[in-house]
Amino acid sequence: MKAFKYLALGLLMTTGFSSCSSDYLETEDHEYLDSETAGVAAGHNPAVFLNGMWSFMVDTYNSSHDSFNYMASLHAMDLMGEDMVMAGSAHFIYDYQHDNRMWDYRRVNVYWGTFYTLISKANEIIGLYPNGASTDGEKALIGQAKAIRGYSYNCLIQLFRNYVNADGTINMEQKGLPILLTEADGYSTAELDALKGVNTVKAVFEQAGKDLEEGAALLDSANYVRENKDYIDANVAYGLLARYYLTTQQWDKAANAANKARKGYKPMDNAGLHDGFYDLKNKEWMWGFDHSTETSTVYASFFSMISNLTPGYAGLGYAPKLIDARLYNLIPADDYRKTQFNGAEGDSSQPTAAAQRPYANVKFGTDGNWTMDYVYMRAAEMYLIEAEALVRQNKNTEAATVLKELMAYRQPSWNKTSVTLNEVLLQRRIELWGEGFSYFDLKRNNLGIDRTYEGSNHMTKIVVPAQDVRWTYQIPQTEFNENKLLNVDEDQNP
Amino acid sequence: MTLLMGLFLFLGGAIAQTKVNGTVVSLEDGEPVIGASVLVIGTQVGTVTNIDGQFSLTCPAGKNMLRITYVGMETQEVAARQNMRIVLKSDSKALDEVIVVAYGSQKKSSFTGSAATMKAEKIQNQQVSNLSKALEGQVAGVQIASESGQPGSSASIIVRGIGSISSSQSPLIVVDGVPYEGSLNSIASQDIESMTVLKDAAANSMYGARGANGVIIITTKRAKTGDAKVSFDARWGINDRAVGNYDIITDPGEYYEMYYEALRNRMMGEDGLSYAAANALAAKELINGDYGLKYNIFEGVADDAVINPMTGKLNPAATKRLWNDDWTKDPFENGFRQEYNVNVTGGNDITQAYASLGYLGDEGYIVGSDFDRYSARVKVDQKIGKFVKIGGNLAYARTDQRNFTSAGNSGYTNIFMFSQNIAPIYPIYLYDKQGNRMYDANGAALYDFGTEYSRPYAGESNPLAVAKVNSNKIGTDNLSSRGYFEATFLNDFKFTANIAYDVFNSNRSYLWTPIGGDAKSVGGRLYKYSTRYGALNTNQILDWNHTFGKHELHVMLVHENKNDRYNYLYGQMTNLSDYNIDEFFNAALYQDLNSNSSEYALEGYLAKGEWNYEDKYYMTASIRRDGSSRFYKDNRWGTFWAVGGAWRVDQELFMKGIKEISALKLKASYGTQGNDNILDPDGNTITHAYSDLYTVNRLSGGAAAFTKTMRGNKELTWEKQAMFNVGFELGLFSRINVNFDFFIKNNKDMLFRSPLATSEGQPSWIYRNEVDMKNTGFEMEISADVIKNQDLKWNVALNFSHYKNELTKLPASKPKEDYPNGFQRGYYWWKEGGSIYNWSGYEYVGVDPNTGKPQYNKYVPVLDANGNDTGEKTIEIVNNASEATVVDLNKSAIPDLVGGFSTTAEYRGFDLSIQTAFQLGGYVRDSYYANLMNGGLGAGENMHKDMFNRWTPGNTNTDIPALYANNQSAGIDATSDFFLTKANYFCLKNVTLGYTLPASLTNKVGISKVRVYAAGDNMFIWSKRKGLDPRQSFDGTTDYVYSALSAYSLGLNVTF
Repeated sequence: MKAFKYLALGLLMTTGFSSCSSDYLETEDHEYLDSETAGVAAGHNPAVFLNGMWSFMVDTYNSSHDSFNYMASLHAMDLMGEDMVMAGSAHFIYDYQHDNRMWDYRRVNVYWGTFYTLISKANEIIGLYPNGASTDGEKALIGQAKAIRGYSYNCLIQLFRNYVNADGTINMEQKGLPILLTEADGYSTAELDALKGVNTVKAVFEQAGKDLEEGAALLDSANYVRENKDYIDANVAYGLLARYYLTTQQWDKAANAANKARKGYKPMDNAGLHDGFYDLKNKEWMWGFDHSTETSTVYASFFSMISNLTPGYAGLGYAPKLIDARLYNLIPADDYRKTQFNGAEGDSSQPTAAAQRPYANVKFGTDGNWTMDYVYMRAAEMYLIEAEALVRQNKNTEAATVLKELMAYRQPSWNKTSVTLNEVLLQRRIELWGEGFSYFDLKRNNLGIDRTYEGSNHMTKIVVPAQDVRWTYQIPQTEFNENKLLNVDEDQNP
Repeated sequence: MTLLMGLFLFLGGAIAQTKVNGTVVSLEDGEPVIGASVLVIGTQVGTVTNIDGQFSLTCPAGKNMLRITYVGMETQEVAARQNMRIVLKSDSKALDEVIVVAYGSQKKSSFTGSAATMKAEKIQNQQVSNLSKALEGQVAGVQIASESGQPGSSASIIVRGIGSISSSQSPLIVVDGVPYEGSLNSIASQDIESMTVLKDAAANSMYGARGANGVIIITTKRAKTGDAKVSFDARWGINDRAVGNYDIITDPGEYYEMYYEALRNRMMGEDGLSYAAANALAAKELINGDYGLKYNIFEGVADDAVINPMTGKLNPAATKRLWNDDWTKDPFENGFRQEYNVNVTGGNDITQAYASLGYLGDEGYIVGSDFDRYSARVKVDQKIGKFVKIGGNLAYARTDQRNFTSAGNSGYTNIFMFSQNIAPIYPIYLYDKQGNRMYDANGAALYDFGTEYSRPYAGESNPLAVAKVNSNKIGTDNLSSRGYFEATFLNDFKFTANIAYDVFNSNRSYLWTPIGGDAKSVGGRLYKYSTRYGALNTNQILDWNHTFGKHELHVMLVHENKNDRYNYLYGQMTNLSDYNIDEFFNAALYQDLNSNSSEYALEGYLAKGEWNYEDKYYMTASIRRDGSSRFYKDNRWGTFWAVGGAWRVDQELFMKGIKEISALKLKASYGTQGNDNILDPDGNTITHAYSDLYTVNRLSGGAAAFTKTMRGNKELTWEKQAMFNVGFELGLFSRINVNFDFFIKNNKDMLFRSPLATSEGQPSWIYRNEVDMKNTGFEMEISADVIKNQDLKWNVALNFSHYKNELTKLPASKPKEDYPNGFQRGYYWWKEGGSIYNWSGYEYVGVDPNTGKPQYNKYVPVLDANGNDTGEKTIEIVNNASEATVVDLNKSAIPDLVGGFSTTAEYRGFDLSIQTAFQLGGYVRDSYYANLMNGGLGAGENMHKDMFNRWTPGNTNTDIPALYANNQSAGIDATSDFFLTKANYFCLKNVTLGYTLPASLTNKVGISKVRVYAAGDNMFIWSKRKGLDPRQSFDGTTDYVYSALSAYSLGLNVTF
């Protein structure tokens, strides 16, 4: 009897925890959203996937401090030019030395991975609507995704192919890059797979143009009003389209798109030029990223590298970023932008040793909190694209008129009635210093660099002529490893 | 004498109904045997010996023969008499000891599987704060990688070769019958009775889905029947650094000369200066140029006159230094180690109880690293009536671990990297221009963070200063509870129910000081992590044992459930008010907050049968069906099975005449097991790899941002393994034991993190079941009692194992047909038949004697006249590794032989034990050395002394390239074969010398045993290169780890 009592206890102990229900092995995982819950959440607010794109652009590709995706890419490219001096050896030194282009290097992976991931994120959104956009909301969503996808292809082809001939024309028949699209773009699975091969420069440019044109049109027709400047509206889409036309030398269209892009914007004033370039609220800024403590990547960030006033790699003195002395000397004394930089004597009133240096930039400041916003596009660039495109069509006086609208806020004494191409390009270099345009401009204009001039303040004094292999990156090894449509012996850049 | 004894015997026989008493001692050590049973043959009269080995009983009339039995000793039958002294010999065959196996224990003779046991003494001799580290070199077939010497940190363990690629390779840890999910630093080594490693399928398959990587069964001490016994152990000692620095440049003058040369070569190469001009400019800019070193350690020598540009040598006037700080020595100091354990055990036939208390304080040799443990354990077994037994086992441990910040990574707060990589010209403390130490207003030392004088190496960093103020504390409450109920019924049946609930609550605070370093710009940074892991495990076991004739049958049915829940909460804030308080109330600026939870469930059904005939022939078979929540519902159940057999040849009649062979057993087994523990690259378990997964990031304004972090695969299922084992156990001359096992372990459909083309975007991989692998190897254990007599006992033991790892099926995206010679996968080269840790890289072919540049092989396809690839290749020499070809280097990280040698000796109260571990063969990539051999070094980076043999115009016969400051292709590429270094090592793991006071002395004061001892751990490590510790990983990679700890202690052991 007694034994039975204990046996009963034992059985109780057993059954109390046994699995009788069939869902015992259905566990809860509250660390991520699975596809189902993410789909439901996206139904409530379709912008979550777009937001993922913005968030990725400021994230770090790997744990390295020089791999903060989009702005790291732009910064590396800037350092390959002539206008920015790196004063000390730290992250990005090899970009500055033009020695960071081989297929197994980190930089190559960051470029490739950043832009192709943006493409895959865009495809994720586009793929959600196999029948295309029907509502204004869907148009806005797909429009932004297409704009990003087109822009990414436009950047990739410039980085990874020598697409300009020695005579300055575009080599459309040159080998291109993989193009990744979705079935919603109207392709069969087999066609989509085939597009992952090498294609041609022409095919990649065409895809970029198609996406950007469709994106701008969708956003325009949706009358999309964005929540904040993290998003791409029609103006920004036209701005990206203008960049594309500039690259592909479609001057008429470039002028047109740039003009559309800057509708509603005015150049910032002198105060804006000296506010540290970290506030998305700046009225001239068209597109950027609004940082918070949660998105901040501190040392692995753009301001860590560029700002001599932020206690990062530049501001702590590892590698202050200076303006090229020759460019500095080309800025007229009464140009407001001249005081974005120190002169040859330096400026002992600046708070950090880096910012006190001769030619140090003080254009990029600090909010003391590592939450400085990033600028991706601003109206001044649109004036400059428009002016350049007009000059290219020999409309030098019209160009001067457009440029004057900008120069009124930069150098009020500027009063030219006709401008040359070189004058416009010089204004681009001054206006957009440090914002990531040097490499693209040098490459599309078929120009090299010479840092060895008399009085050069460059640390690495090198000459890299136009068409040099160093201007074109190798396609990453990781791509050849897994993409069977690429053949390293045939498709790799020298 | 014989006559006299015979007389007593006769007399004894004459006495009727006599009360007799005596003492039972062991032949080996003369110590009393406690708990030996004494039975009067032919009667029910019997007793057990007490704590002093004594017994007394009354022999019924006419019965005077006693039978004395004790586990592990030869049974003796003697005639009863007064004051007898019975000496028991240990059972030389030793095959009939009981070993712990899955869901119970069994006689070793009947065990058909492969297992090895590490006994309490060998564990307790070692000064380890984490049990995982005690296994190194101790058990054949077990390989240990010790990533960190940080007190409390664990070592990784693998059993029988590489178990997996993208899922866990760690064995299942079972503590007192139940899988244990906590850290092995929470169990005091003094509480351990034994650690048993189950190695083959016959032993592991019963753990089904989780048995593939082997099983380590830890059994804690259990009370024995007998009077209460109290045992106390205390030890005190110091901790020191076991593996020193690499042979780096320590002389400032030598460093200046080397860097000057690097600078000069750069100026000639990059800027095109002439030799003379470059010399002059390098001397001028050595300290203050763009690439300058900024610090001039010499007093009275101008910054531009440290080096004489005419000779390239240090200015002879440079003799007096402004500071003498030594980064390689000053930050390290000995830590204090103390450990106390007391346990009480006792009981009778009905109740047995064991209780223990322990404290361990283990300080590291670098500030800010230590480990404290308070542990308590109570274990009670209670018989209720004739058929029922219940018991409980409750253990609690509080562990507090202070971690040295960021060891193991290449951040500048990692002092293990920093102290060797910084040039010997930089001070630790802050000095003024005249070389006077500087202090703050309160007289506290100021440190040189590099900002004051723009140190080019690691600006705004001083790892020692921040280590003193930063804190990284993890406090964990480890509660482990086990209860069982056991009932026997219908003679042959036994039912057992086990319930175990373990919970680990952990709080981590990680404070980064704002006095300098990374968190300076944000006013200090504080992270808090709170985790809770609760693991519930229940099983029900039905046993049936039956003997008919010479047949013995055992059948077992088991049902098991497991449910683990994990909760995580994390927050981060900055801007601390008080720099030392690591609580959020003290922080002003919000940075981040997150929490998540996950769950794991497993259910299994197991049946096992054992049969033996005449204790000669044994057969076992088991089958288990397991379901795991980690897979999609259609693919979550798996079936695992095993069969095994053994033959005790020594029991056969024809063996009786062969005296030399005292024991011989042959065995073989085959079975299958699984692995469901898919890991992400950081080593965290992925709970739902079958679905696409998205993280939710936040944008300012509170917008949610989705990022895909997992490409789900519903087809994912178990990783499967089939293992074949054959072996023998041999005893020779009753003194030598040899165990040998040969195994083949086949892994199929391994959980593999399969890469995708980068153009697919992140995540650029997906988990698939797609690679097959095979491990083939053997293990051998030999132990010999060289001398065994009353005074002197000397035993030597050697174990070693070897395995070969080979890929038998490549991933689906890289089939053998397309890649007959294999392909590069990260650091490795994969090919069918090659190991997964077979290195890939560049072939370094020395220095160009004319230029001093490094040279590598580039394989260029040979084209025929029509421009078609002929399939042949020619070798072209290139100077930049990135232009060279990555090839199969045909060197594996896997060692040829892993093992250990140990010896114990006892002589008149003295005992000596020596344990060693060794490894032969295999290659590690010595990244540390690569970094110190970088001829393209940046300003302020230190070098290995081997760099003295670099190429110069006067030294062209060398394989070390010329110096060339700040150039990423000037040095030998770190992934070239040059840095693959033989992973041989030998380690003197433990030496313990003890002395036990004579019992005659201690017994007078009521103490049964007093032993004093001295012990040293990790006393000596020999490896191929000074500073290299090849034990860091299984895959041959090395890092800037908290290098191994050595410990020296004096101890005292008292038993009442």
